[in-house]
Amino acid sequence: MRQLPGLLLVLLLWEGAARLLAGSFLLAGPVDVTLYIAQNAELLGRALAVTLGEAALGYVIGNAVAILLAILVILLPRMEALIGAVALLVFCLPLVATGPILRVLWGPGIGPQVTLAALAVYYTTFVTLVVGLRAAPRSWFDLVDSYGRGPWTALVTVRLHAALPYLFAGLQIAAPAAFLGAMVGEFTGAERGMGVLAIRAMRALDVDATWALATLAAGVSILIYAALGALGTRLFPDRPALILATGGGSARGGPLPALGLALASVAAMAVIWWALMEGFALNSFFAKRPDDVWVFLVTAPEAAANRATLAAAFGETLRFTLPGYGLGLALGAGLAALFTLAPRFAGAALPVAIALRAIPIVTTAPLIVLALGRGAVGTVTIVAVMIFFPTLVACLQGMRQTPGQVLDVFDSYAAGRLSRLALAQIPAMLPAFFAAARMAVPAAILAVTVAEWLATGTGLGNLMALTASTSDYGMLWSATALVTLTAGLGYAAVALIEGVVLARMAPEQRR
Amino acid sequence: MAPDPAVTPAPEVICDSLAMTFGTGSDAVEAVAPTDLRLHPGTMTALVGPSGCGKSTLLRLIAGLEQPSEGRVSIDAQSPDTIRKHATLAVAFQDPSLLPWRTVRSNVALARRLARLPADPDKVDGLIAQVGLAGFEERRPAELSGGMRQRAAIARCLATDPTLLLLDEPFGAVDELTRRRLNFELPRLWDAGGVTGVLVTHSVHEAVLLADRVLVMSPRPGRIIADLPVTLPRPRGPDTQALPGFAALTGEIAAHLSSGSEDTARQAAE
Repeated sequence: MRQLPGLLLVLLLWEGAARLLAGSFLLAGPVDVTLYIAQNAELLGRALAVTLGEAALGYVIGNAVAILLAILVILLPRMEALIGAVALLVFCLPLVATGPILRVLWGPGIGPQVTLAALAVYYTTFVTLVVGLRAAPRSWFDLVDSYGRGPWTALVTVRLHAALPYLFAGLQIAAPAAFLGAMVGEFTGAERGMGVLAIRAMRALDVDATWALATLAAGVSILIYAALGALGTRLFPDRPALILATGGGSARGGPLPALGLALASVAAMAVIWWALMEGFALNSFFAKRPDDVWVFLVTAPEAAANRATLAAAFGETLRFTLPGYGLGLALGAGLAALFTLAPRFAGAALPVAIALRAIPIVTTAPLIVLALGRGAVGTVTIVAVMIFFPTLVACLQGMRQTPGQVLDVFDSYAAGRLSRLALAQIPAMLPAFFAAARMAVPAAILAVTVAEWLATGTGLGNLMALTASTSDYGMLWSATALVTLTAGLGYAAVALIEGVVLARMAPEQRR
Repeated sequence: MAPDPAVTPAPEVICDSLAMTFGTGSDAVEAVAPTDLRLHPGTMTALVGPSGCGKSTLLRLIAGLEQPSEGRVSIDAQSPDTIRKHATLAVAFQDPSLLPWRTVRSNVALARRLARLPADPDKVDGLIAQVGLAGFEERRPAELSGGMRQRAAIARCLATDPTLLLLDEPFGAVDELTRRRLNFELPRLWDAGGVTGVLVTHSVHEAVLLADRVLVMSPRPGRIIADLPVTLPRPRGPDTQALPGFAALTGEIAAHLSSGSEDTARQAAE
């Protein structure tokens, strides 16, 4: 009930903004949204049931894959870096492109929605679970060793137990992501579901319907998230904070192994890609292979023109992504710092921020672009908002990791709040901040490409959507490969900076 | 350099029916029973007692890090909160609480910065040498043993020339040999009489070696069940332990400690 004042404030601000913008067809307030939901309860209920079903199926499949991958990493520790990198690259696949490709591969039905929901969840679960499987103290393994038992016994008797709270934390983060994945999957030509209604409402600029659907999607996501959170608190009273404080370990051992790993993972990715296409004997007209992309971009007569088109779109996308990424991180970390200076305010704000994190930003992207214009401001805002909430939550939780005894030392000198913040809390927050910054790279690319596709008609998002509908599959696959590679490189770059900073600031916090 | 006692005299600490209860209702735990206490200026008082008897809570109440549920602390007629702002108080915590991203040198220097005192690199390095960490100035806490970290925390605690020194089991993780050496050496830093101190410790030997007065506390809720002056001559060294008075006093303290535990056990049985 502590979050009640905060939620009321959000509702008031929302209604106020809607009243202010009345007549501009941008924002519907909570009153209109409630009316719309009440009047269309039956339609919305059916759509919600369809999307929930797809999300649930994708959630189960995605998390099962994540669990298998995590166990594989624990049993084959030497493969960890490679498996982690390939898992990341697959996670970075742009929904805008994979959606239409999956639609072609699966045909009509729920295949693409379920696949996208599974793709949206498996990476976060995988990462938290690997941390959890490693979370048991060294002495427990020594105990297993001292009885002459091997890694399998250690896995069953020690690791799985230690990992359960982490697994649960991962499953909780994954739940809203599955719903969002299913909805975006429905954008790509499904027959039924929330995504179908959302895209119809957006195209018709039906403001009440768009915001009602976004609100409903957010409400459902928040409810699932909160329910899993409550269940987790009951099952594991002392479960860890929801921080993805690992996954960056790719730069271990200097730049040369890192480069080798990058090449190896790209090669592995190409092999998996080729094997999938060949294994399912997919028609090479739409199911392009790595060598087709090579031909398209390098050896074909029109390769130079293809490269120029791709580069121009890439430039447009980067122009929006980088400022939005920086802005979102800065706002998230900055607000976390402000909340820490005024802790009473943070007590009310944190639950609201955790809830708002579940809002499917992309479903309202066209309206945000409509409000702020097709130029830089609109898209940059969407990217920043997408990154802002997870960063804020991670940073606030990170600042809470500051040991109480350290704060006692500051208190014993009556040090001010600013010194506490600058000298103790911000350094303690850095691991969480970098974890958020890493996960924000794919999120930023998802946001920018969806906004370009649905609203601005520029950049790689538009190029992918356009080439999907004109069956220009060479360009579509090339753009997809470029986006994935860029996301992977961006993630690796953040991880590299993270490694350098944490080696200095938090040697014992690096995993 | 020790502060000139004429400029910053060691304070007198008065605890006036000071008590601490954590929690409320049926969950309430009385950590410190109402306690009256006067710590004379320029003396070191040791608090000994069984684990969980409220020694550390009493120390935190004197530092103003906890607000008492009853009674009050006055330090030269001022509240602990005021004294902390004047940077004349320093606490060495049970946990060294060094900032992991700072080197030993910058952890020790941090105390002066937090206390709004001018930087004094010579003093910082001198203290680091005094606690036996010369050569480790640029190491980070993760590279040190538990005992070394505690010594760095003691150096940090002394870096502001405090006149009220609150030591919460500062040698708990220090190895026995170093602990003995520090027991003999550290008192020189406050023997000049410019420091009023409280030392929380498990070790009866340490209490007698370091303090002018030993207070024995009962198991929870902590009450002071014995108040014993230590009149052994200073400076104290290895020879002190050979004095007949030393053995007599440690024996008396140990007897009080075990009788306190028996009383509580008897009360619990009734």
